[in-house]
Amino acid sequence: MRPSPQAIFAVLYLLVQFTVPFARMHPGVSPPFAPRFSWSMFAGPLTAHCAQRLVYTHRDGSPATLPLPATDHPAYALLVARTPGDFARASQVLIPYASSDEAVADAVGDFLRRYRTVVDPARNHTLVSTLDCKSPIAPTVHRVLHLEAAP
Amino acid sequence: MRDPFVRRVDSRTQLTLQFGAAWLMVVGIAHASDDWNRVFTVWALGRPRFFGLAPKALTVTLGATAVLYFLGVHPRWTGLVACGLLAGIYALVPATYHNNTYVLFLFVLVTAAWAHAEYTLGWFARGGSPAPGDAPAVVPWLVRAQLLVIYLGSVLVKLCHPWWRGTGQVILWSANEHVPQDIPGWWNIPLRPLLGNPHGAAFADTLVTAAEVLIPLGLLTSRRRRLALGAAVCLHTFMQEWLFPQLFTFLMLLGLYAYVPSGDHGWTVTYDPAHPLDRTLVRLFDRLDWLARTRWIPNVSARDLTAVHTDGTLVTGASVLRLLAVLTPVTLFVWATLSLAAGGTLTLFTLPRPALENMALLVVALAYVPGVLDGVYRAARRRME
Repeated sequence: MRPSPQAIFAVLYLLVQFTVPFARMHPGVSPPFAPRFSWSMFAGPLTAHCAQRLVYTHRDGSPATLPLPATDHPAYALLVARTPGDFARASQVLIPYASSDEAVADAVGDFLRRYRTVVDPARNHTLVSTLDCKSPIAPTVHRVLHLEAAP
Repeated sequence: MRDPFVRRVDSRTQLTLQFGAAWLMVVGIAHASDDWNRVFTVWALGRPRFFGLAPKALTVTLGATAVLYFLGVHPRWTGLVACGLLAGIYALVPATYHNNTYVLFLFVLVTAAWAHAEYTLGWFARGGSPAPGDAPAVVPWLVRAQLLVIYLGSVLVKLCHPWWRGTGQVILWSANEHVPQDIPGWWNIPLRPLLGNPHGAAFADTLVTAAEVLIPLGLLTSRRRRLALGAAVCLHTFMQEWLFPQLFTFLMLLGLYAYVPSGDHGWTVTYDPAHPLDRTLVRLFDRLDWLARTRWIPNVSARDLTAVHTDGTLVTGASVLRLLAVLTPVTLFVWATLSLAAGGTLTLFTLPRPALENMALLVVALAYVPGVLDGVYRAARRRME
């Protein structure tokens, strides 16, 4: 008996749904289902072990105060997070599009670049972020982001 | 296997799945939008203004569309538009990382694509009456298949990921760090000594993986289906009360209704029509029996509620109440509504929302302690005589 077009559609539906998980994979990242989608909870990143240090200086190297948003702004916690505990809570806003500590570091870097364009569009200051992640099993991540002041 | 597009079945399951997907979308989106907005806000920083407004506008429109879908206003179109909006949010901002929104998308897609012509809220308010005409078996069939995909997909992840594979790393981290830091519930207090050590975590890891293999296998066989359904309910309840996956829990529990019969009147409940408590219970549960699982037989000589299944299973007294609460999907919707409608930051008498839910479930669990519900039931019965 030939399957009906609707039955073919149903089978396609079940197959197509896998395209989303696969489409959201990062090529070259193992294991295969880790990145950005999973039918299992917590197959993604365990970002509880990251710590970051932010240094904000004037052009001459003297310390400057990084302008912070209001304390109830979701970016505030991320900017003031220093310890792994702080960072784990604050990074909830990044987890949706981070799949590993490497991806978290990328997301933090991306966020800081954008934040700097908002608070210092003329690039009068230098922002240096140092992020260290030591999650279980995953490779240790040490990322330094150096956003130099404009000459 | 007969073509589910051709084979016609009782359509109460389809109607219930449509109602459930729609209602869970309404309360689920309201619940998730708080988290989404925080992600959108951070994501929009430093981007053109359009990017700041678009995701929030999509979310508001999605909420309004979800309400229309729930009300049954052109359900096929409103449901499909809601799916499109969800996909738009998904594409614009990768904020819907977690599987829960994706399951919602798939459930709404299926129930909207084959939206039932007789879907109205009035039908549910009347306790699933009048009996709807039959419908193709495709919606329950696809939901059943979807559940299998999710369980087996989850097993595949656990077998591939080095933090699972029986190592217990994820469970260890959850018990020792994630839950104590981020989830102010109570369940981790007794669980931490068990799951917060490497051996306990590794054992739990293996147990969960095994359960996710055995549950779908059990669901596929009619002999083991009831056992598999019970195991699935226990697994999702445990996960919900410990880790609060929220929408995912309720969508999975909703999907399990695709595996139970509807319109079979398989349970015959005998009651005393002269007893006020029996009359009240019959009136209440008859209205909640959307899947038409029961048949009510008045018997003036009946001294107690009695339920007999066509397979010979006999339940009496307070156990009938437990049975009826499980047979009606309304129990699930009440739980989901209380859990999802309460915001994550809600506190009551300094008790945070997860702890409140833990406490409420503990009270419900008392009904399963031998003698407790029976005592309450007997006392109420005597008082109303």
